[in-house]
Amino acid sequence: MARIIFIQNIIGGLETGSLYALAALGVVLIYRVSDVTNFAQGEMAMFSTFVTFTIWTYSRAAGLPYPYLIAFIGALIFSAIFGYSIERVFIRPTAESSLLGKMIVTFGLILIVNGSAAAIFGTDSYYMQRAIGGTMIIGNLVVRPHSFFVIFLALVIMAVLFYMIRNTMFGVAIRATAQDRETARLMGVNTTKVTAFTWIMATIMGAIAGLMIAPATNVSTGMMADVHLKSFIAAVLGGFTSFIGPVIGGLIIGIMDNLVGYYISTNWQTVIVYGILILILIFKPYGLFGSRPQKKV
Amino acid sequence: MAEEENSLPILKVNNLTKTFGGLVAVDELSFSVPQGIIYGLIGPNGAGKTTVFNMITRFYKPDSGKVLFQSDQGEVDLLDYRVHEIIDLGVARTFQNIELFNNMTVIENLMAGGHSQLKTNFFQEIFRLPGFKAKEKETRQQALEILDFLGLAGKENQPASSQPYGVQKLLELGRILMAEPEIILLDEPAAGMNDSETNRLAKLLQLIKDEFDITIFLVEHDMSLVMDICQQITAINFGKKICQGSPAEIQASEAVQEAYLGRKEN
Amino acid sequence: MLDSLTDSHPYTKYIVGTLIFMLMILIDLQLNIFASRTINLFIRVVYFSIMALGFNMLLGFAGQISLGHAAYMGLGAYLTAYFSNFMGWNFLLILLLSGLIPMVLGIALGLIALRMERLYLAIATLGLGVTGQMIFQEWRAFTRGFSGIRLDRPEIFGFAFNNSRHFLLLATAILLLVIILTYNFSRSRTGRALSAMRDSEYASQSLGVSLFKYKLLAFAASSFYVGIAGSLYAYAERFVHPSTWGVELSLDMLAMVVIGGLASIGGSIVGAAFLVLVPRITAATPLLAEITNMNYILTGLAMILVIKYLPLGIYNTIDVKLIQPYLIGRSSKEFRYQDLEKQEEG
Repeated sequence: MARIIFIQNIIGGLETGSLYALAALGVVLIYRVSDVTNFAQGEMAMFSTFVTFTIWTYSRAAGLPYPYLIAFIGALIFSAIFGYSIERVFIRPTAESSLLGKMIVTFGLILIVNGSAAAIFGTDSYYMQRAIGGTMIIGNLVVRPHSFFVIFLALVIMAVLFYMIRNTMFGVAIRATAQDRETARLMGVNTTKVTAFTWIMATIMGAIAGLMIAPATNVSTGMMADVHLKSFIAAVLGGFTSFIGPVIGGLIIGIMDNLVGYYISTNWQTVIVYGILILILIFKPYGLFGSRPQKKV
Repeated sequence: MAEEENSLPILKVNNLTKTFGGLVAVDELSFSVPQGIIYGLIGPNGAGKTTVFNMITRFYKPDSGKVLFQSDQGEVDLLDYRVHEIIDLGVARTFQNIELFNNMTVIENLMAGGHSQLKTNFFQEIFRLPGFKAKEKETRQQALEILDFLGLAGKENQPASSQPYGVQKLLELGRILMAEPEIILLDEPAAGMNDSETNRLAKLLQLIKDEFDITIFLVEHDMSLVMDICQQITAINFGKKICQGSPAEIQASEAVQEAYLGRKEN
Repeated sequence: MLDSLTDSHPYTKYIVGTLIFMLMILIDLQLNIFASRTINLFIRVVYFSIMALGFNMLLGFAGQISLGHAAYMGLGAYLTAYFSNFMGWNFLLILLLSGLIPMVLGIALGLIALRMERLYLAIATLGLGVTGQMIFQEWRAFTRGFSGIRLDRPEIFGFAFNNSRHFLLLATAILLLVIILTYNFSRSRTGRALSAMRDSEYASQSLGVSLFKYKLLAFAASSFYVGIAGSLYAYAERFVHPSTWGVELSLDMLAMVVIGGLASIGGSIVGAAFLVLVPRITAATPLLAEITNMNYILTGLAMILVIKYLPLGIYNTIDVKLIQPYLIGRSSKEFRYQDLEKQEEG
């Protein structure tokens, strides 16, 4: 029995972990390409989830077939537009600011997006259904198909993304821009387009993470606070200088989170996970897979 | 030239080695800088000049070797000190890419340069205890004098970052003079300057050496400047010393010509 | 930034300004012109100003970031509630301890900060802030969790500051002291060392600035200020609740300092006033009042607009564009605004 509970926790950890990984990957993608750390990633995901939830509710009320699918497609379309708009309206005009300035812009975005969500959708919290409902029994294991769906979906998205980064011309452009923006631009890479694209991708990944976590957290303006923090911790743990690091970081945090929550204490879960992060950072200040950026003196 | 050979070395670099991930940047390098002269370190791009500076001023940790410095307390190995401690021994440096304090004014930059000389403590400062004002005023006065010396009088309250490139270079030089050093290490002091600015710099460096009694050790690409003002030069390539001597000897050296122009075989 | 431009007109403007304000409140003590709501608003501006000054010490002067300072302020507030309810100590002792204990923890944070660059530090402190708030919720013996703690207004030598105007005068006097100390500190070897560290770690180190010492100092000083602000918060509001000390408050600190002006004393106060007054103004404006959390949106927009158009912050821009040209124009022609334009681009 103990072993079954352990395995269930691992599956649960992989489920939340792959969502952290998805969100973290979005943050790192933007960071590498445009030097902006998007602290508003979580709030943007929350906003997208609210929109998705609204589409879902209306589709159901209107009696449309497959309301969840409609909402899911709606989420993809909305978050793409949303990500592009944020980049165009707030990020591009402030691209010349200092690194700190760019960071502060995203803090401002937290307030704007969160405030707008409260203004438009209110401050109540709502139930959102799972992609696949119910439970299934494999041997002695009781698991939710939703968990596998989430893990599968995250894997597919990441596989597509990694394939694209490694093997397509656009991927080369992304890598070149991440390596050295100025040189990439001189070599004819359209860095403006690359930046806009990464914002769109990252926002979509955030929206999916939000939609998938929503059944557990409910849909509310505060729903992403915990996911957001943990996806950042995942990015730090993995290191901002690699693309694969945050994915592994996300999975580690997810599993650790579940194990600590079950075996030690749910109340202190975040505190303990955070404490472990600090310990790791003291010995590996640039994350497990990150390297120290060398600046020439 | 006999005078220089008699003077004691103020800085001795012994068998300094530094590798970066398997690549040898500086290889068993030894040379010594006599007191009271202008000494040059030259070499083609990537020869390891700045790496040498970074090791002497403790930004990099060498793999092996010694950096012996003749301080007030006798001979010390700089490698026993931390990066912010060597200024107290009298070693100051400038940077290849100007590292001014951009959000501060010109005079604040210079006064920050006096950090190691100004001895006020936190409580004296926040409560403006006796002694604070006089010391602060003295530092300000010294900063104004140095600005005057550099020909920058009147710019004290302007933002440092709004100054033209040449002025920023001079400010960086002035900032380390505030620390009253024994030796200054200048990393490409003339880079980005036009000819008249370079000429003025040459005169200034001579003056600094004579008036302030400071040994100058510089890395520079502008060969005419180096040949003009340095009394002794060490040339390195791939982290190894290829030649050492007076400007005339360096100019005559085949090894140096080869390093700069490449081998003429084939 | 560039605060020393005002060197020829030293901090008398702050002292005179504060004294006029105190005189106004003294007169109001007799006349009761201000509504008690307005007095409470003033009190909030005062303790938030101390908080913003503390945060500016960290971000503006020293260039270090923290998204966990709300937890230090909360600690100051809880310590004050605890000492005043259960120990019955003297106000000044409590105020001092509410600054000193967060200061010790601030030094611990500084030790961690020494090993990290800014982005990682921002995220690590974000986690610290969340952790701090959780501890406030869970450590019931000290904080009473979600029930919160009540306390009374302070008493000095038998005089109780129950009248809000009296308390406002007391808080303003403390703010004045903090302003003077901050001013003195910023125009000195230590202040210059902090700013030097902010602008170039390499150059400042080579000039003798120990990053170890000055980073710790920045974290210590800012935690001390923020702890004091928390103490005054507790006395002012007479109630301490864990929901106050979230990441939102840390973001508010950041917004105050950015909007008002980095590395500027006047900017800290203007920023604090901005964040206190914006919710009031939106609540009083007919159309805006109906929109939930309109003040969030406005604050966020203000931050981004300031970064884009007024990198020096509201206060410094007014000071440099309007006041300085007037004052300097009369004394000397050394400073020109074009220089500043260039500086902003850099």
